[in-house]
Amino acid sequence: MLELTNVSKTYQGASGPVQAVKAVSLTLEAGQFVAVQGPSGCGKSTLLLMAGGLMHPDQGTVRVGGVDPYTLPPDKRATFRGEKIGFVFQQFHLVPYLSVLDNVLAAALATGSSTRKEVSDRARQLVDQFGLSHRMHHVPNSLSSGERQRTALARALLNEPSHLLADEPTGNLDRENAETVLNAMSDFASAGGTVLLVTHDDLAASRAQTVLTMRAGELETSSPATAATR
Amino acid sequence: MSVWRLMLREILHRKLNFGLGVLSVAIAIACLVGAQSLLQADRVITQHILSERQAEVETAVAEKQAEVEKAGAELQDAMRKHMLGLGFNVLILPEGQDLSELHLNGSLSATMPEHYVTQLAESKIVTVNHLLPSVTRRIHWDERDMDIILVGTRGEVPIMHRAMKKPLLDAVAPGKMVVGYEVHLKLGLKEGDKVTLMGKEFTVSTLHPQRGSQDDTTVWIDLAQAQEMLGLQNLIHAILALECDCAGDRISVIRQEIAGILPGTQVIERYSQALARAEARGYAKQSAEEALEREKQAGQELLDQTVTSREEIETRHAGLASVLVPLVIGASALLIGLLSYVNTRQRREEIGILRAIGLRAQQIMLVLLSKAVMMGLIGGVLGVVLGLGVLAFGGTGVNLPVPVSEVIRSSPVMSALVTAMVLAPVLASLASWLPGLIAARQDPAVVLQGD
Ligand SMILES: Nc1ncnc2c1ncn2[C@@H]1O[C@H](COP(=O)(O)OP(=O)(O)OP(=O)(O)O)[C@@H](O)[C@H]1O
Ligand SMILES: [Mg+2]
Repeated sequence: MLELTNVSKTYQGASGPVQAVKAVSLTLEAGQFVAVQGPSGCGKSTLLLMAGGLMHPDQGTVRVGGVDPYTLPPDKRATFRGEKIGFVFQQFHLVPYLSVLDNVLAAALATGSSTRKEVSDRARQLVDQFGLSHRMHHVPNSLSSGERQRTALARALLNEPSHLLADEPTGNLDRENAETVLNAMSDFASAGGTVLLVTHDDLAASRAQTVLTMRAGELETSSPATAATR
Repeated sequence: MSVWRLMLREILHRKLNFGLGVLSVAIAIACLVGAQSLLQADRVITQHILSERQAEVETAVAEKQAEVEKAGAELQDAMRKHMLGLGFNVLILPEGQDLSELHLNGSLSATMPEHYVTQLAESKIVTVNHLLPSVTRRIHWDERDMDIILVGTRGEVPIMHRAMKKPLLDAVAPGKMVVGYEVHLKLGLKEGDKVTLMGKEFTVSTLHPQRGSQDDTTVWIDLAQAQEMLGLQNLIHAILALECDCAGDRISVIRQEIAGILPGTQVIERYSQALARAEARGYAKQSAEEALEREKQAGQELLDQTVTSREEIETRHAGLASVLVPLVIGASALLIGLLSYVNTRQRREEIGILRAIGLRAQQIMLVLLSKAVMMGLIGGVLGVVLGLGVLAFGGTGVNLPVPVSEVIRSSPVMSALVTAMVLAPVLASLASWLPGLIAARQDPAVVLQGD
């Protein structure tokens, strides 16, 4: 379960403050798959980072599985993220000197299970699932954007988190690969996980039970009924 | 996958950065080892040189000492011998004695009372140690048909108020005869032979070896017998005064003193060549002693000079090292710090990522620090090898007075290694810890959004 209550964020930009997110409230139950759409710069990524325990909101509270990560000390919060939240960055943020497989496995360093056989098996299986077997030992800068995107998703899923937050995970993918990724997210939600997806892509949004639209830092209307289909 | 693998991957990914770090540690440590070894070498060499010099000086001084002792012993020996052989230093004669008689004939004719010697002995004379009254006359030994100088002597007269000195000459006992070299050679005399002189019987008691002087044609008998034979009862020709104590203008002092006690006498110096020789030997001894003193002084000066010059060199080296070593270490530290800092800035994103996916600050620090330790370890070993290598090659080139291996053995390799292993991580962590810590403390999103 993911709960955002009146969260706001204002960036102190070079040319004055930018209010990226304005008092947004949002609740996702376990097993729910929600997509957020909206024009570029409307604050989607900012919202997702706050939801993922990666950026303090200026105001409002965030609860992930009933816990406000921002009340935890930094190390505990990091571990909490590692265990409970799978996060796919819009810019992927892979470790540049680690291979695809190692990048996926690095997530297990957070839980201390990185050297376990079943974990490395799971990593290989995820790599395989996202069609990266032939790139397993390649480092990020020799990969295509789509390959990086999928590596980032595999990493997010390794620790079997209860929440998956993905920022444009299909932005650089062809239809076939996009399907693979979206299927994985649907499966994740079906298995009881909470999915919050940020996307421009209608195809991606179409897989969500709920599609929300964000505009200038605010969620327009929650219309679960209309977006939940298909 | 582990933190170690993460570190190794990172090192391999940034070989140049790591290589430069290792190099700067290596240079700092090489400099440290080199400088410390140089200072150590200084000490070893100084010790070596000093002990060598010391030995040299000791040998030289010992040689001079032996020379002085030899000169001293020779002198003493010679003094005594000549005193004995020649009998006296000063001759006291009656004022009227014509000296040419003595020199031409070895004979004396002017007499003075025998009690003069007693008078002298009972006076408070200080310049003279031994007194021998004598009669001396050149005669023809009718029985043997030979010209001789007959000397009658009664041996030493003890000087009053003074402990008796060991006599330099024994008296000739009555009835005995001491014979000079030419006489016993010509007459074929042996010890124990009975001879007759002027109708009186004598036994030859001593034969003198050749002295190359009047002594060789002299025959000595008891004073009283000689006085009787020559008709000079209670009269003497001369008093021989031996072992005068006066330094400097000996003769004038003795003359003065004796003239005060025995008016109407003259004092002449006899056999001054013996004294000259003794003086020469005395001078030889003195100059040997002076030479010894000079040698000792020169030795000490040499040692002092060596110590001073070694100290100068050591101080210069130590001064150089005390400037150079901190400078190089400081520069290396700066470079390591800079590299780490740049590295950490480059790594902000990675730190953000690792943080975002859940790594604890400690794990991230471990990566940074183990890399620094590695840098210190490899750089340290490399630096020691480099430092000693340069020393070994340089050392054989400059031809040290001690084997290079000795210097190397005593050089502080272990401490340098330890220094490297401590210094490099400390420096690297100082440089990377703080930015790393800040990166780890910030919100990962903020870190990732970068500056
Ligand atoms: N670090 C920052 N400092 C200042 N302003 C920022 C910063 N990050 C984002 N912004 C501004 O905040 C607003 C929201 O940005 P955000 O990245 O959340 O938008 P977005 O909806 O994800 O856009 P996109 O669809 O292009 O990814 C934008 O106007 C952006 O310029
Ligand atoms: Mg965005």
